[in-house]
Amino acid sequence: MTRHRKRLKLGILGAVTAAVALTACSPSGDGGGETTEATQGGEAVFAIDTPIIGLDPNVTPAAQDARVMRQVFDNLVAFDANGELIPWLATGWELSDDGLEYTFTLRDDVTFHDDTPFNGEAVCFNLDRIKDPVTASMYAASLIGPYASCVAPDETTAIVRVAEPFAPFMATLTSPFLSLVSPTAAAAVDAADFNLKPVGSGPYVIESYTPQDRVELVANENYNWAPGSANHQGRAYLDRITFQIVPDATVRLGSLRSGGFQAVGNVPETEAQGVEQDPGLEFVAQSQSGAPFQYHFNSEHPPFDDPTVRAALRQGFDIESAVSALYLGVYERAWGPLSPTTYDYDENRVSAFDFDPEAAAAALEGAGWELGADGIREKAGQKLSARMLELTPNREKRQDLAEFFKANMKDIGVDIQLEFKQSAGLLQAGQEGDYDILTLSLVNVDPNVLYSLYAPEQIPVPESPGFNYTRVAEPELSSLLLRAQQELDPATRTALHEEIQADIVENARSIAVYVPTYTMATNGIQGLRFDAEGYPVWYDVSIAN
Amino acid sequence: MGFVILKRILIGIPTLIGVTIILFLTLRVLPGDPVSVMLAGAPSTPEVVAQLRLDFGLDRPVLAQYWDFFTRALRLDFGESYATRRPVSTMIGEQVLPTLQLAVAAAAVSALVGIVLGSISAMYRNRWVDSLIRVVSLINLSMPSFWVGLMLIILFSFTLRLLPATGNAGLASLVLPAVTLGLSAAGTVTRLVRNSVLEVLGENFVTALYAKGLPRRTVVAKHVLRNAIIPTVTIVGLQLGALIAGAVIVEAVFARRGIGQMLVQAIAGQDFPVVQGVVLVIAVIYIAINIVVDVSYAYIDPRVRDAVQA
Repeated sequence: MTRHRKRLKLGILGAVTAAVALTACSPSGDGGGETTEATQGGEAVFAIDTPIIGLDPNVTPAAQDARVMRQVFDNLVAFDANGELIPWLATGWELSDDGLEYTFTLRDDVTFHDDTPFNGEAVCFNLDRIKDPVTASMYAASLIGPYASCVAPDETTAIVRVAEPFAPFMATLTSPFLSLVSPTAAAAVDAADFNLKPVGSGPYVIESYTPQDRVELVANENYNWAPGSANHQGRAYLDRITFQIVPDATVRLGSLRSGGFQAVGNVPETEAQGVEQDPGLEFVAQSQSGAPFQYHFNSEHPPFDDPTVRAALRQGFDIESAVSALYLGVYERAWGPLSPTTYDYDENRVSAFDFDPEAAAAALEGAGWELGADGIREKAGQKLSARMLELTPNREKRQDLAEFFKANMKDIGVDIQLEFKQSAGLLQAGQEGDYDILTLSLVNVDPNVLYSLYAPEQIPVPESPGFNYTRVAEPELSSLLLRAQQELDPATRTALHEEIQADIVENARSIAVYVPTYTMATNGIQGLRFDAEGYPVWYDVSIAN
Repeated sequence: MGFVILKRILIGIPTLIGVTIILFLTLRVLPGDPVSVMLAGAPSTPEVVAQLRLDFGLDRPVLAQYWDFFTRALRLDFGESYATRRPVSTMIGEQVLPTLQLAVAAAAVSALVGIVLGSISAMYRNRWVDSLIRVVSLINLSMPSFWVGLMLIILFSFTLRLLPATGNAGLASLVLPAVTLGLSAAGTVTRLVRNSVLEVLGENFVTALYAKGLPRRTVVAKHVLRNAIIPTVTIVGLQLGALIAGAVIVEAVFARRGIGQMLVQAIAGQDFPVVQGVVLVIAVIYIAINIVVDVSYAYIDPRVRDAVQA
């Protein structure tokens, strides 16, 4: 199994003034097996478990869509294996001193799959299209933050203005959700049709997409603009990649073993060991950057407004045992609000607290919560009870995890009222604040995910979804979050992020449980890489001889 | 004859209107808001939320939304999917054929297996062959179809490599799913055919045929089965409707396209137009099958035909 968790500081963006700095993972897993000289040709079938929603990066929000989009589209910039921002379709970029104007210099030799030339107009078209409410962008719009305007003075220049300094901007430009579509193709057809068969400039072209069944990609013969993070130049090695939707894990793995598939996604934890021991197969696990899976305490609901009570619950939860028992070593246990592969991840949060049910019980005792006759603590006639909502119980054994937590809590005299809901009813309760504990994990390439999780503007209310499930709105933390979002000096920004992580962990605002990890198994291919967000990159993949 | 068909169709209309009302109201009464569900994966701006509501007409009163849905449905226009923003009728058009193919093929498997085994069972009543068939049908009835499907895949695809495990290409990919789904229904047909054949075997005309010196096989194949088959046609017909609905699980195991898979995802994502469209289409198919079954009696059994004409 290849897992890379290097954290490398990175320098300045381009040749310029202020810049974004980052520490990131180097997910350059090559499958770990014997690699042979890459040869051109061949086909591969990648069996995925979740149906595609759409393939227009400006519109769609789903991770399974990004796994296809990554092969079809290019970005302005990319992260290399060391976590440094490198040129892709943009050869250079400058940020004005006030942090409001980005000037991108663009390649002049790039064409989209429909032969539309890539230029400054194309960049502006994409950004404007994302911002236009008619597009109804479900995710990209939130990534470009305070984007204001874009002008293209000539073919190879795009000048992008933001309304206020927005430090995550360059990093988020690497995301598959901000990859670039052909302006002529997007303007020519209905948005719904474009979502089925969008046109990019990437190494693979969408040949066909059959909803509920498969997406067929064929190599772009003209491709010659891979970023420096790629291991070769020119067209992709494989002639064809088929993304086939196969919901059943047993069928996915069986067909992989029998050679029908060359790669499968989402290997069940129970199968991971078998795959690793199979000499014909490779097992790959890529932890996702962003926020790990966390239990968020609703700080508007007493007694969970009290850090002592929250910390006691956390101390009484045997996270280590829960994670190793349920995920069998495939998923890593988390400690703080950032995943280890996210830059500015603060290692000092590791082991910042321990599992000690006696100390937890004593802390609750100290806070006035006395054990009642039924084994549940109470204070002034009030039971120590929490309504916990698990909205995605079928994902990654989260239901079992919640039951584990409930049992641990019972041991220290806390009653957990578990409710498992599919996504429908959940958001309503979440938006109305009608819960004590709510769970969530979030993928993001930038530590700005902290802002999404803890800024007061992100508290979900009816008509305005958000991810601040802790509903915290403390001025000091809020100001740190805003400053981190706007701070353009990398070192200062890192320090701010570390302060925020310390605040979250010290005040036990959330309990971080495990790091979501995308697992794959492959048979007979080599050269698979992952981008900074953790999406597989098929460009360098070839048939292993 | 024509009058019977017309009458059956006219009875079907209020049934369908009832389906639309129950369906529409159930979806609206359930907790949750489709736009929030759609945006669950991403933080969004109030402008986007407002735009989506406007696009989908969710800002209008429920009654107005229903009337809109109803009048459009008459023109086979079920609106646009919230998730993909494509016309639901187009999406159903893409997916309905694979499901129908699967259901019809499965019904054929179920009828074939059921009639053959049921007849043999009756002919060898209370002998070891009969017991074996009865036990096997009972076991078959109790096995969940996802398990049967997996076992067939492991045997025929992974081990023997005779048939593809997944996909939608060609007849070969239809064999295993159709057998899986068909077997789940065959047990019922077997029991039914056995009972009717036994019943007919006890009738006087059968004794007369034997007295004529006809061999047992001819008696059963030519004379008994024809009489015994009427209840079987009803059951296989009704099963076809159930098989369309039951295709969901088999579609998932064999990674087949189909309206079953589409419906499950639409329910999870609160994609109202898709749920409405698919359920309505299934209801129409169900009602149509019932009419066909009723009418087909007349062709199989002259007594029914005469009764109708009289």
